[in-house]
Amino acid sequence: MATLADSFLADLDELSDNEADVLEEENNDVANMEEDIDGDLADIETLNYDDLDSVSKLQKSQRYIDIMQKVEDALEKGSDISNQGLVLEDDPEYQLIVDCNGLSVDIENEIVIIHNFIRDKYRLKFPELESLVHHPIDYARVVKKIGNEMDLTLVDLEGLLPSAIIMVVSVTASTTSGKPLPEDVLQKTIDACDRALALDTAKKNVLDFVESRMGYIAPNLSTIVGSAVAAKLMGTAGGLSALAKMPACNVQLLGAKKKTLAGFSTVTSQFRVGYIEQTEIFQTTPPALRSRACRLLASKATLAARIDSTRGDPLGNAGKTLKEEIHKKIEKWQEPPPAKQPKPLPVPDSEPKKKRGGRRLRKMKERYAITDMRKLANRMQFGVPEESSLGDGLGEGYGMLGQAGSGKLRVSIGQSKLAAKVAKKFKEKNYGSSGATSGLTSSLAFTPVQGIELTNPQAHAHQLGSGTQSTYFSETGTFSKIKRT
Amino acid sequence: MIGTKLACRDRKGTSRKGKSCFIKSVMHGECNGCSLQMDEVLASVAEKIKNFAVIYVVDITEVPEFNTMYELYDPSTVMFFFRNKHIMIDLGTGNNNKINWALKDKQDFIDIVETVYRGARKGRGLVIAPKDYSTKYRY
Repeated sequence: MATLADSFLADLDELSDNEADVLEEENNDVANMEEDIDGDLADIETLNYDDLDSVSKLQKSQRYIDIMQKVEDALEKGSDISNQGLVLEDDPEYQLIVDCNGLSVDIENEIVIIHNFIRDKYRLKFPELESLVHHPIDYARVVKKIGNEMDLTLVDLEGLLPSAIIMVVSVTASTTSGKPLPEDVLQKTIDACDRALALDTAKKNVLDFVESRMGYIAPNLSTIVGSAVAAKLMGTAGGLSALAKMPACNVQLLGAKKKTLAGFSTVTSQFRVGYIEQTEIFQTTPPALRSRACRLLASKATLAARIDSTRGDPLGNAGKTLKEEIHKKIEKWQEPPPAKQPKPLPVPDSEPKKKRGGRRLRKMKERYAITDMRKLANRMQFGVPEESSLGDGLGEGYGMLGQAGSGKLRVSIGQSKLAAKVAKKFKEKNYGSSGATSGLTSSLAFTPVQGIELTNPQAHAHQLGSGTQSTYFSETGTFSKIKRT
Repeated sequence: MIGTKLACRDRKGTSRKGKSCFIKSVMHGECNGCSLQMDEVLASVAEKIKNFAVIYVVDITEVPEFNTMYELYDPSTVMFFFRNKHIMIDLGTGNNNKINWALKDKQDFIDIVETVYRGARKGRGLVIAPKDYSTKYRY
């Protein structure tokens, strides 16, 4: 899963220059830990860690502490109308916001790591819980609530989870294969849950702060989607420029929740939409148009984010025009279709028939083409009476066929293509009877199951032929293998 | 629809456009179902076939000049003309000159008009209707 990737990420964080001085701090912290550290395992970041702090370093890092302090100060100060004249990058608040964005991404990653830790520990107690409750914070809350309890009827999960999930959890808990945890493991797990919840509140604080400053940072984006959603988008993307670099399809999915199945089908599950779902525009569109509206919003929001990242429009006018556009488009979708005009019929025979051409048609026409024999029979020599089939001018005339001056020594019948096709079909159907069959045989087949069958099923079997029959000289056979050179 | 749309004498001028036209004659004062039904069918069809046919309704009590020439004695009669030439249709009824009953089906009527148009353009004076109406009295 993401465990390994996240531990690598944690490694990367470790290696960055900002936290070079932090490493010494952390080594001290580790040494002060009460828990036993398995020496071999602490050296390599493997999945079998025993101690939370060896993988969850963020809360202790200097950077984290600094930024959180600043955020709290700024939140207490209240909304500050910053000086518009300042170039954005010089403004210390802007820098803080940029840091906040980075931090919120780090907090997310950290929460995932801690979630994995909690999950690994709690697996002994209640392994099915991880597949029922996906969200890391919800999982942490549930774990904290349940603790070491084996009987879930004593635990009240109201408010933490939707009721359907609570029911499923209770039922699964009654049949779980888990065993209660030892005391120290339980303590570690509860600590980790607390840590996760603390990080979650910290993230909320950061987001609140960013939201309050949103109108200043990204006026266009906040006009379209609202400052709360804009802050969330920025937080998840990791900064305004990161958000601007994303394609619109990704922006649409930022913050999309993975639906818990709990045995229900995916047919009713909604299309993929993330934070955009919470915008006012999305909520006010009729449900039928929601997926289109979502895509539209995401694309315009991306445009606005791009304008904002380059500070192209500090007043937010571009955002207003985009918002107008969005409204107009959604209105247009809701218009009834234009009334159907009854069309008058076209003039008969005015449109010439589409005649096809090509090799296939030519070959087909060749079958019905006039043969040489027929051509000769159609003509007559001047002054020479033609012969006829019944003699004396009665019956069908032969024309130049067979006459002395026709110029052709011998007229062959030639292979008429139509005749060939007909002959082949004739042979396949075995219309003619060979001399060997007796006069008493019929084409009806008497079968025990169905009684009389009109077609003899054996005949089809024979068509394929036994292995000994050679298809080389067969007149009805086709090519057996055609090799392309 | 009951009322003179165009005097019969004008037929020559209009049909020169190359469109076939057909004239429906109505007996004024006798608003029976037969005539009304035919009127309704014609009215609904007029828009559809306007590219190749035009319909004229003539009240034979107001314009009696052609009554003897074309034997217009029925409540409703439809005759077909193409470029000032009367086109005959073999409907199976014995009378090839006109349709003198109420045709109920719109599509049937459109088919007849199309057949007349096709045949007349080729120069035929008599066309064969796609459907046989010899049993039209048997409902």
